[in-house]
Amino acid sequence: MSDLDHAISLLRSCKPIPEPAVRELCYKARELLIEESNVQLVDAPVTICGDIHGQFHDLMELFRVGGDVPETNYLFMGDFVDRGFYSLESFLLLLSLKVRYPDRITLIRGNHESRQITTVYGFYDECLRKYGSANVWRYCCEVFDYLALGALVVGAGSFVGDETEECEVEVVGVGGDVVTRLKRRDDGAGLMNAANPLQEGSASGGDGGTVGGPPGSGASGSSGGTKGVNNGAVLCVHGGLSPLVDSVDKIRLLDRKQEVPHEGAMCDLLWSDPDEIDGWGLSPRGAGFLFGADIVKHFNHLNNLTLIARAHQLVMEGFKEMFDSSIVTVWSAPNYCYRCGNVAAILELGEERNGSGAGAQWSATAGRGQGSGVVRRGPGRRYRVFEAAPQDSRGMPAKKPVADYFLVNITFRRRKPGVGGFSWALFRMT
Amino acid sequence: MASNTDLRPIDPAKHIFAIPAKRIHVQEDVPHFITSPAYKLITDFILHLNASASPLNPVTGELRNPQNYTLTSPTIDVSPEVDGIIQLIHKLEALVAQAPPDPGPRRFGNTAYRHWYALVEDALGGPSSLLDQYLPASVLTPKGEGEVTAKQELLPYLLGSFGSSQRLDYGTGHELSFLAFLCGIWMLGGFQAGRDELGLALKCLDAYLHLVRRLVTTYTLEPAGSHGVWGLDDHSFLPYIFGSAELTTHPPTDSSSSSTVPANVEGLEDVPKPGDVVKSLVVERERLRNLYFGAIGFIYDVKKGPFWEHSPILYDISGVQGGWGKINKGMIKMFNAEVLGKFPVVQHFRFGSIFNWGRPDSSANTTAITAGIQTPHASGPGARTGSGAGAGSSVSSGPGARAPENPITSTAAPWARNPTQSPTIGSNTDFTTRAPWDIPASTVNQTGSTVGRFPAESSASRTAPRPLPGREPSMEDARAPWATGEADKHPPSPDITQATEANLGPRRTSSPDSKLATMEGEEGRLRRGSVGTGGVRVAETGDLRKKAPPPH
Repeated sequence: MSDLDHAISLLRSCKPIPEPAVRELCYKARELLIEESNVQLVDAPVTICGDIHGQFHDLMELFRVGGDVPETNYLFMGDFVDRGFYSLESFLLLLSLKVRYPDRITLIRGNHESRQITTVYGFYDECLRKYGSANVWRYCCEVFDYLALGALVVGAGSFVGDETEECEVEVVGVGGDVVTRLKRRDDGAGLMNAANPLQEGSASGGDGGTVGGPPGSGASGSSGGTKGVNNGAVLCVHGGLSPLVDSVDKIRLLDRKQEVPHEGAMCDLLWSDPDEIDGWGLSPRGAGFLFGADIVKHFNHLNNLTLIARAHQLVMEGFKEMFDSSIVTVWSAPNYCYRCGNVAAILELGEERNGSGAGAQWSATAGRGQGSGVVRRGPGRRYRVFEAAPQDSRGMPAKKPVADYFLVNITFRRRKPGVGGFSWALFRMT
Repeated sequence: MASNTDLRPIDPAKHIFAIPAKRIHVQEDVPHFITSPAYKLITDFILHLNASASPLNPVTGELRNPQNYTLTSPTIDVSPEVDGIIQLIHKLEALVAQAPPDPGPRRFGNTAYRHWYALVEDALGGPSSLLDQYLPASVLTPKGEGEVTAKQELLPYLLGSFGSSQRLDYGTGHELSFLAFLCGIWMLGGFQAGRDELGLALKCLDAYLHLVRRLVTTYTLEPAGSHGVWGLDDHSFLPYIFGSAELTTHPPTDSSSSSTVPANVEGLEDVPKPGDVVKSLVVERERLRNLYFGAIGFIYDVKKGPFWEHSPILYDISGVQGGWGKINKGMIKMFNAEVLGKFPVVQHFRFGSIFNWGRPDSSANTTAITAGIQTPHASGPGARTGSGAGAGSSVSSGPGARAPENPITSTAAPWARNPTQSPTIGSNTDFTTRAPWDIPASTVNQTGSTVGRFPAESSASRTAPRPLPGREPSMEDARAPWATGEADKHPPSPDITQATEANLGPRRTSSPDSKLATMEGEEGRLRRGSVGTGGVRVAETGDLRKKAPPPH
């Protein structure tokens, strides 16, 4: 068994790996990630996942529900760390899988993959607690700087389900049973009917879905792909859009290998949120922006996208499509922070079938509304919903390490990597 | 009772009040706050209540019956003044029934909280305010025409005690505001030293926490700035301080030395042990009697999973060998560093004539609190850190006590940036991460618009804020800049300059900050820290008592 496989098996059992192994792993990961584009091109089929936030056991549940690596292709949209108890194990497992199966798993950066944020929201404290020094935190942060900012999924099929019952959307509930199937409407109403339970109430009413030229033309970001581009692509990004970015190509031009800035395009991609507004709005987060349906539809149109998949916001139902299914939020941390009571979801995009791809049928799709233009159809989407992993098997740790505030000697330091003897310099809360 | 020389009340009739305003605008203001009279007043008040809430007299070392220091103890003297505050809280809690949570799907926080908050504002503001009804009359002595009243100064602290109606969250900053409300009444002579301490620290706080927990569960309020499992508690801090004081029956001991528990005091055997927090049965038994276990019990209510996993800090503390006295001492240290020393928390605190922002004062005692209940053998009464005639005694008497430049504004919730704003903003704030460099809009946006907050910028760029899309109060009018080509110079029209900008990456690429961000390794980080743009420095400088680990 190679060192890497050994590390993977340790991490799969939720055990931290020794500090030198982390260093080695992070070094290899950087070598790999540095070659990736800002917007990594990914072929369907792929399973898209949202925030993890150190919920290791729930990540294992995710793999159980969605299939293991490398059997299933995965795309994680960031926020692996912070808030949860096992950020380290979760991130290092994903990273080691990335190094082991580079073509099977794609990791993009979330706003929490940042020195400044992890210092405030827990990952730094966790590393200090588990290793007694900040070295591992530093290694990880160096990897964060190399993570891609987004991904473009190409070649996704138009339907989910079998040949006999082709659907646009399928929701697989907790327990594995299909709870919802939605057929694609070819009568011109598209997906915009209010009866669609997947959608927000009424989106702003603008049509925004009209399309001029054939797919694949224009400022398409899918120029690197050769298959499936005429079906439109799916842009995956952690937060959302930026007023400074009107094309996928603009993202490609960013210099991403740095700490997430406080503002600018790179910051916005990781921090912004869609909202029921027109145009752009200020974000209450203090970073990024809010953007409305018109922004999304305009961007998708310009870039020949059929869908934007993003994470970044807790959704009680695990996923939430907005703006006539032009953007979806995917959230993969069930019962977030042990208390939110939400379910989680992953989004599966299937492979395009030969001869039956949407490209062939695309032009047949009637225009909607006043008959002007054509509805671009989204890819077939299967959402798998899952709950938090059972917790009964987790034993109580034997040691009760103590925080500095409660010690006599605050210069106290003793440790062996990976086991007990923790020292906390500081833990924070607001 | 412990000395309260620093908490000597002032005469409301002669005092000149001021409408409290925010003073902590950037991280660099926090060190000044630590030296301010307001800081000293807050810490003195906490230490005074803390000392009074323990069965162990911190001065004489005398141990009283611990059973008289439980929430349910019939021996606690609840004066009409303290009871008035409790009744006031009950009144506000009753308003929850008038603002039932909205049914239907939502992402997290329930916007019906805003309804409740508006009811509270109505009930507390105006001529027939509940404050007139329930606060000691002597505190609210009428003032002359045009003068700021005590009510006007106190109200923002109470309104800031229940969470943010905009962000739908609640955290220790709001709790601090409630403490300041009580402290303000104390300083105006509304309570009686030597009589009301237990009533305030236990009964009054318990009533407040009851209301807050009801708000949190009813409206699923987000933990403000949650650190997930890596915070002490999602919402609260004070119950851990006063709750551990309640249980302190012997001085903090080192784990090496044996404790010296007096044998002949009743009720000792019923005092729960620190390790009992993991025993749900004990928690159930004690949660109504003790603030600490009350807070733990609430965690059990709302969190699912192993306690050691979702609350590792409290779990670790349950293993402290030195007893409750040691825990109490540690809690005060931690409060000092993690609440009072943290920019994201104290940036919302307001300063007026009672909580005086002041100026750096050479006579001010800048020593941070380092001890909770003192060991009588180790230190005399005078050893209490922060005591003595320092800035505290001049809080409200000297001419400098008057805040010179308080704008005359209508009283608004200190944490609601704009109570009347479009709900579309708030609906997006649930259980989200906020940027730690985030600063109050008022420091950036001079136009009076309070629609949101901006990413922190260097002070140079703040004086000339960059144009932001959607800065107008009416965001509905804001358009995508490239779609309309209007409104802003920013970003430029899609031409070569924009491509260049995109190529260069973030707008601040040319600033020292982002240059540093690309520097390799340690040096870049350290220097970046010295540039000072936000949250990292929160951690690095927030704790003046003890050097925080430089995150490297």
